[in-house]
Amino acid sequence: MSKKSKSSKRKQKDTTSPTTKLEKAVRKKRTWYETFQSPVLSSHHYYGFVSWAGYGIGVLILLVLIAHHAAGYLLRPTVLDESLIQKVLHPENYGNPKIGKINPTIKFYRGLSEDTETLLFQLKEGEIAGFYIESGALNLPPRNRSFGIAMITYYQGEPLIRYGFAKKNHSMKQILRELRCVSLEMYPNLDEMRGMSTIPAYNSPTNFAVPWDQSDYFYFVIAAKSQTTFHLEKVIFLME
Amino acid sequence: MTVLTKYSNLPLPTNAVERIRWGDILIASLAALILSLVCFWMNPLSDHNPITQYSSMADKPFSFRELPYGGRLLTPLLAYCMPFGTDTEFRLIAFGSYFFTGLFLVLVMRLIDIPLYWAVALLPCFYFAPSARFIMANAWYTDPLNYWMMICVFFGALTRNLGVTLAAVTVGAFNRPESLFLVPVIAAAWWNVKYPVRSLLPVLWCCAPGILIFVSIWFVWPYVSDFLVIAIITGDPLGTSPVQIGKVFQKHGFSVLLSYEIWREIIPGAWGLAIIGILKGPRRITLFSLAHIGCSLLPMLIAVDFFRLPFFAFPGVLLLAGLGVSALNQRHPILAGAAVLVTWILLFFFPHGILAGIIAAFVLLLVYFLFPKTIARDTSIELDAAGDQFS
Repeated sequence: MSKKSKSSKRKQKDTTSPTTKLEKAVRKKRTWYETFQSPVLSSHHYYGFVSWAGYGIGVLILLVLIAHHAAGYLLRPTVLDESLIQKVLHPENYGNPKIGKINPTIKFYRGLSEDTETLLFQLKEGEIAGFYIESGALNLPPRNRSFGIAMITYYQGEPLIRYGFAKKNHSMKQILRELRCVSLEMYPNLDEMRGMSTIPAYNSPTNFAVPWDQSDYFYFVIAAKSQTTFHLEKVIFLME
Repeated sequence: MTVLTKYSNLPLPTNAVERIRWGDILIASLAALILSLVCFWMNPLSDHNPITQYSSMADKPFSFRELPYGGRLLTPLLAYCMPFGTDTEFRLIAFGSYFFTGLFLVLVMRLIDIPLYWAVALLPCFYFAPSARFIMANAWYTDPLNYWMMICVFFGALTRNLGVTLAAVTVGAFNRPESLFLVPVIAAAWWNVKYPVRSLLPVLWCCAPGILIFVSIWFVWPYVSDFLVIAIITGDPLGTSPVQIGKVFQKHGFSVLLSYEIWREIIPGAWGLAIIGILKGPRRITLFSLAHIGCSLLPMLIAVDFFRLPFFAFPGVLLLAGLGVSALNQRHPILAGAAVLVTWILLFFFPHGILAGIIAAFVLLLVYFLFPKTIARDTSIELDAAGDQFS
């Protein structure tokens, strides 16, 4: 029985080996020109795995789209505070936070523009004016997030805006000249009064001399390069 | 999937893809690479970026920009993922897209059995077209990736491969949702008169993700992004398109389709070959190409600045030109060669020459119909006969 099985195995080997050799010979004989002329894909593969790869790409793109939208939703800025101007104009409605004028020799007025109450600054060339407000009265971001402000303004002239954070012991001179802060040069408008909105650039705590979570005051200053009339209608605190 | 495709028309035989040989890929790749390198070298990046939206999207891809620019997400997203400078990233994406567009253009022509050398000979009509050169010099546009995807849609639609068509439509819509103008073109390829509704089911299947992407980008993306915050700040209605389509259409009317600015961008030098292609090519392929040209021109009715948009018709024109040169080749190869040479001359010396294109087309038609048919040698019949003998 075992002899028979061995011989049958040998027979099987004998019958298969020439075919394999022939195949090998055929493969060896295939020249570069034949490869050059051979089809890249059989129709079986084209309608098989290539088609499925196409579905895979489609699904992948849909996943990327969902991830993109989700990232957009998670990373979009958060509005922290929209009522800064109201707090300055009507502190009694907000628990009377500590508010002061910077460079008190210059006046800023409560003006009306477009039926909305605004802070009005009227400055001659080279003058500086502003205000500060207690940090505790504002909704500021945590230390690990970025902070920016957006503004709705109406102005005429060449205003330069600076804002930042200060401690109680900082002098007026330090606030106006020395402390590291964010400055924003508004586009010169020497004709009629016109409206301008600003989209925020976001800053980390290191962009300020005093990080917001260690500060006592937030200050906002306007310097005039030429005679300037500046209405501050809205300041929006944003966190990114 | 066979259930879906059971009733739809198949423009080419199922084994058409086997016409593409390794040699075709090699030669087409080399030609596309050389032409891309030459054209990008001849058209360096412009000093001034005319479209800053896309580069700013590449810097902040999760921030909303005004529509329609803010809806074209893929190219800026790819640029964001690359480690080079913004300009280099856009240029690289454009280069890759131009290379693959050229390669796939040749492969699509091989699918419909246009000889390789004539397919390659028509490639300069794409690379040296004024709109293509403009985009090379202003690589910040999202168009190049759509050129490539459009050719991929051609590949998938002609072979009725649902996966390939679906992928190409989806990627195209993610890059530029307006690329869904290809939906009726795919329908034209697969529509079967006997089963007018059921034959369109695979079209719906392939285009559904693309349509979903369009809806998501135009109507969902503004409301999950930072758009609402920016809208509060600026008071701008960014979520709606700044272009009022109805008003633009009222202003333009259908007469805009006759304007010189549109037709000069559709490779006038190749019109002669394309007309011969329409007359002599297989009916289904010519109808498909004409449907594509028609659908590429329709957006002009509502477009504000359409200086480079008509160029989206180039695959249809070049496919017809390929059929035309193939028909001329069957009369005599020298005749085909002369026609291609004339096309090149027109392309280089009168790139916007509509009149030159029409005159050349008229002369070419005259020569084609007067040229004696007896010279024709149909080599394919001989090859078939030889094949029969061996079998």
